[in-house]
Amino acid sequence: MNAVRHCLMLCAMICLIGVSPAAAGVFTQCPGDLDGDSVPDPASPDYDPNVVCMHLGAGDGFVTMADGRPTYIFSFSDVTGVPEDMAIMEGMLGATFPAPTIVLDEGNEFYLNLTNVGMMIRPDLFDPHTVHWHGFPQAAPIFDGVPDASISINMMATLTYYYNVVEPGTYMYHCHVEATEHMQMGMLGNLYVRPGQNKLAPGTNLNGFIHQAGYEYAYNDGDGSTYYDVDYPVQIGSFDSNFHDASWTVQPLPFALMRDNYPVLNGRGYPDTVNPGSLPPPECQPPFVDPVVPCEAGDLLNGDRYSQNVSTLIEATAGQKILLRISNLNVTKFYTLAVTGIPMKVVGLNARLYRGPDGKDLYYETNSVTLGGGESVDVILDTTGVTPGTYFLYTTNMNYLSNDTEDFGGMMAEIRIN
Amino acid sequence: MSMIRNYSMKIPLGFAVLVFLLLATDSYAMINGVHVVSGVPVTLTAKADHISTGDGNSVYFWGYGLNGNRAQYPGPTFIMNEGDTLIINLTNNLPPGSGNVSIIFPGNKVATAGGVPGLLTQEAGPAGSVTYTVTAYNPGTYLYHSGTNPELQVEMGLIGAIIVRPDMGVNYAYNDQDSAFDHEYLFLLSEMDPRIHELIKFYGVAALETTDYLSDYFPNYWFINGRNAPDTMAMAGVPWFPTQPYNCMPRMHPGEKLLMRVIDAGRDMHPFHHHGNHARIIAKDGRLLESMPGVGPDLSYEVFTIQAVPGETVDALFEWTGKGLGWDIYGDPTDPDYAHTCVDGNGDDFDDTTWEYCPDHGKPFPVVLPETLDITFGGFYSGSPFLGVLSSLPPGEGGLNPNAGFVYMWHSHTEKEMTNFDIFPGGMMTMLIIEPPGVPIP
Amino acid sequence: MKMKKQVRIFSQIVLVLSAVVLMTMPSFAAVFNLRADETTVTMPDGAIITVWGFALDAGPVTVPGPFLEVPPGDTTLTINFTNNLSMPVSIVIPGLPAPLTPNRFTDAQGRRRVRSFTTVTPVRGTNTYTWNELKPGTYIYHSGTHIALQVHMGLYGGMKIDAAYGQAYPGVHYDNEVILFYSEIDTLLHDPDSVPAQPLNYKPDYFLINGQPYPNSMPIVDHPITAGELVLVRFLNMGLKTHIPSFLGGYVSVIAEDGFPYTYPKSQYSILLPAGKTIDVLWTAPDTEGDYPVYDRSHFLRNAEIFPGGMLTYLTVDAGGPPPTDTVNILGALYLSGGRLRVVATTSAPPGTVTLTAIAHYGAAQVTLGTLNYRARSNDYRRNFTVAIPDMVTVTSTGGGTDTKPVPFQ
Repeated sequence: MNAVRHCLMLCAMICLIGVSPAAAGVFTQCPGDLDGDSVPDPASPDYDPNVVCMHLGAGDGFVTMADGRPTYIFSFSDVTGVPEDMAIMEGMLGATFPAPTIVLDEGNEFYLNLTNVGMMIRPDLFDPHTVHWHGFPQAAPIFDGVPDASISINMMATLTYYYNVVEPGTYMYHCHVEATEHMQMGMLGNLYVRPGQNKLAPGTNLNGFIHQAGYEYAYNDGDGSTYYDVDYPVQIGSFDSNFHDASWTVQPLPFALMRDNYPVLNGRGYPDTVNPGSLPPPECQPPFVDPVVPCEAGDLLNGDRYSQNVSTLIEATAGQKILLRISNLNVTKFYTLAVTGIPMKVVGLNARLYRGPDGKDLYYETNSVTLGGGESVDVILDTTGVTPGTYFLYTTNMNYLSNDTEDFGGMMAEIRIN
Repeated sequence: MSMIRNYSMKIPLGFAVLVFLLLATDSYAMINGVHVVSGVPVTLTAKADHISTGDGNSVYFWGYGLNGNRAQYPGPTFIMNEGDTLIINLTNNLPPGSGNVSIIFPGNKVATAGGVPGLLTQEAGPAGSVTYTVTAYNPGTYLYHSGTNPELQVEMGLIGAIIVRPDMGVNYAYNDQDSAFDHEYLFLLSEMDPRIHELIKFYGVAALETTDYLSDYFPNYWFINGRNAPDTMAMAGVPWFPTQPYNCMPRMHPGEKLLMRVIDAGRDMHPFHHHGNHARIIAKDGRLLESMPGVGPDLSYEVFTIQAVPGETVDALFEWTGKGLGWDIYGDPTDPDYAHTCVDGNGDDFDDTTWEYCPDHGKPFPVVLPETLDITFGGFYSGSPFLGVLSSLPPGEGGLNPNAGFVYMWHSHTEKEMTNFDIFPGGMMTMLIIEPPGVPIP
Repeated sequence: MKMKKQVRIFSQIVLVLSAVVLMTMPSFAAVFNLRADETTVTMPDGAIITVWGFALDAGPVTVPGPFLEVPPGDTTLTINFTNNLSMPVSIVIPGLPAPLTPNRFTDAQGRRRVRSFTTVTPVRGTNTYTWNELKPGTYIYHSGTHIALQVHMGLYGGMKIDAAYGQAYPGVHYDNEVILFYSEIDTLLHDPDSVPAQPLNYKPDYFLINGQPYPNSMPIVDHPITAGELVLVRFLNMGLKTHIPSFLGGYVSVIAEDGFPYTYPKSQYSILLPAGKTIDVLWTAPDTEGDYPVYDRSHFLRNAEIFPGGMLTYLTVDAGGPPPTDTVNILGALYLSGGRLRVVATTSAPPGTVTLTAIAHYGAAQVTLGTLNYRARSNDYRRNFTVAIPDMVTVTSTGGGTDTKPVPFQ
């Protein structure tokens, strides 16, 4: 562990834990979990295969924009599998952008343990956090994550959310505490639920479409019309670097001046969107060093951790169907996202199969979809007859094809058909 | 029945008094507006005044004033019946040098009399007037706004709503059974850039041509029905908002249908996110989403965020029961403090009176909540996760939810729009309160 | 004798056929010669702005570029492209599938970035772009190279492919057609003497319909609109911002986007038109003549901040000329052996008072065949024409009546 991180850890212990002596501390709940790591253990008498647990840390961290700018963020880290008493250590400065992707199946009971690990870079902040599962149908306020209407979790403690997962679809999640600030700072993630139709007995006849083992659908369509071979979550977002720098340097936050200059897909600008792996840990590098940003060349800003783990490199074999689970969680504008060369077929909207109440088909084909914050759409790209090669997913708001003022970047990804 | 008795035992007397006070003034009722008498002219005067914003600011605006009253933001909501005629005599009292003013009625047929020709319609010249006759051939939700320099005058506040009720009755949005509702609320969305208003106030309209405020539009106030949060949740018609008579405080009971009449009267799109459940969009621009005229909204679809487009209107039905949550939302029925029954006489899985989802009846609350010192409480939190239950809160916490309803934030999901000129929270936001069964909602 | 007559007829057919082939043979391959070049446009306030645009053959460079019409039934589209600009350019048509050969470069960190969606045409170079999967619809062609800069500089144009003559999509007929192409100009980015453009700071100050803002914004209309006509309005937007064309007083039926017809049309008075989108709507021209405004509800209605201007235009509806005095009905349009088209039609006018003329349609092209002869014993007008088989035939009367039927028809 490098010197910066070690020092930060000591500061954390002293500053943060000292503040709340009576805190109950980290406390995970997960039926069937024997050792508190939020992973159900089959040996447990309470083990239920439908129970899914996750442990997220909420705090701060760093990422790198595609032009090299290191950027301070708030977000969630995945500490599932980490022993309870190590969760805060692991979560500190461990925020990833986007937040860890949550994938569930219809019929799951989902226990989400949220531990507020505090803000390492801002020990003056005492922000609580929440998780808002955006679009969860028939939600109850206690688990809806809106701080004004329920409760949010303070530093060094855990709140466990419970979701009885009934409706498949493409959702999203984010923190709702001081929403404008926490969401601009990056507490945003992909979340989707796979339908029960995936688990039908092989050979089931869906109105003429024969289900086979391993077939996957976006929804319980009853006719195979949302069948796909490969699926990718694509979350639209954008950052205002002035806002993030102000947060990093303990300045008043410029809400009124907020204007995003780093458009991203799944937390990255092009060409990092098509890097198939995690981006390297954020490091302070010229020209983004003091005084442009408050760090020195060579600083490993979050202790050498991988904080951008979701790629938007979309790959398929010609003839396959690609499902894009597109959501938007930026806080300033609408974006239009287009695909060259392969039509998009919209089959789902806001986590609902796009049909009328008596089943009338509302599916439509298009070259682009336009989403504001809090909207999601499921589109299927049918690559039958498509010549192998590279196609592009990009914003037609073409001035956002840049990373701040760096050209040939921004909100673009690639679809590689072989 | 037993549930209501339980609630009154649970609610301390002080809270009951508070509830009574809040409900006595009819201020949360249906849609506040002007009931149109067909064929009887109303006078609207376009004039300048000020509004109060959620950050304590006072912003100069232009609005339509009704029958000699002060200008209001938004203009009066006209409520009329299908087939009625709305006659508006518009008089121009805008400050000298401001030019003409007018009204256009997207989606509606209008005849004009008098006035001077403008680019979009007949206009009232300086100190002049013009008459518009609008015949409401179709029920639905509509808007009106200035057709003169609309990029300036809509920004300045010359906007309003028109509700046309169908022949089928006041509890229907259209002449179709599937448009029935129990409560209806208007969500007229708009925004302002205070720099434009200051410039107009002190220097007049010509000064705008030396800035890029209109081509590079950058608002900093966002409104529902003319107010920023938290003022959206204050009562309608209160004297400290003399030019902002309308509020936005939606309330319902489980199992009921709430009609959202969403109008985007500004020039920016807004993603209106209603926490709690999906809503079903049944009509747009005053037309049912139907595959053929008369079949009913067979093309309706559900969303969790309504994509509001400038100039467009959306009618959506919102329902909530808590179905499928997997735990009893009223608490443990075997505990005397939470005793309640779930009686499903008609076999639809819901209690016949309270709409409790009976398959979840008696299921225990699934987690242990953190200790008090580890939690930050929201002002609308009742102290308990259960519907209708007030529980202990630290001193000074809670208090905004005297009936212990379930509260959900309804807001623009462009979160920058939840601020009042650099101050969070605010802007285009309100709360839906799902009150326990038996709580009166006007 | 018999053989000689057959040979004579045959040679006549060949001669006529060749003539028809030379004049009007329906082409199955649409070919356009496009050129990219620099020019200036003048705004109504006198501002002269340097733009990059497309031109057809030796014609003028315009922004938007020339509107291309691909005849119905064509199966391939070829653009022979000449690049007279000082940077590489390419052509893509979103919505018409085509293999792409992207052009990339390696950045300072060793990452590969795409610079052009498909093959570039070098400076002062030529190239050919083809599309083999055509379908009816309204499309935008634009440069696929450095799109964040080249598209807003003006390298875009519109295109249409009809399903058949007078049919936008199968079964969707229209009487008239209007084209409204929306786009924007940021004059600072067009200044040829300024620092290289920084697209992120895009702040347009002119807002155009068919290349000009109000008061010079003109709809492109196929023929003057008359009351009651079913008008197909093709909306295209290659600005970088969303626009919302709005009609006053009436509703339109939104039938397709990006060349994909909806299963169920939508009844609205305004249309969401995001960047890069095409939307087709059907508008029934009102009975009352007048100028019907179509304005942008995103309120970009100024020219460099001066009112009035921007995205406002009018669709002018004429009451139309005097009504026809007769009714024409085509009874039959059959293609007989020997290469003859027999046209039979009636008119409500008394015999001898009007003249009926037959016109053959080949795709978008028309050929006047000639007048029909009155046959008293059947009280109709008929004639056989030795021509290649057309798609449709129209019979017009000097009394104003007209009728059109597909071939064959009986």
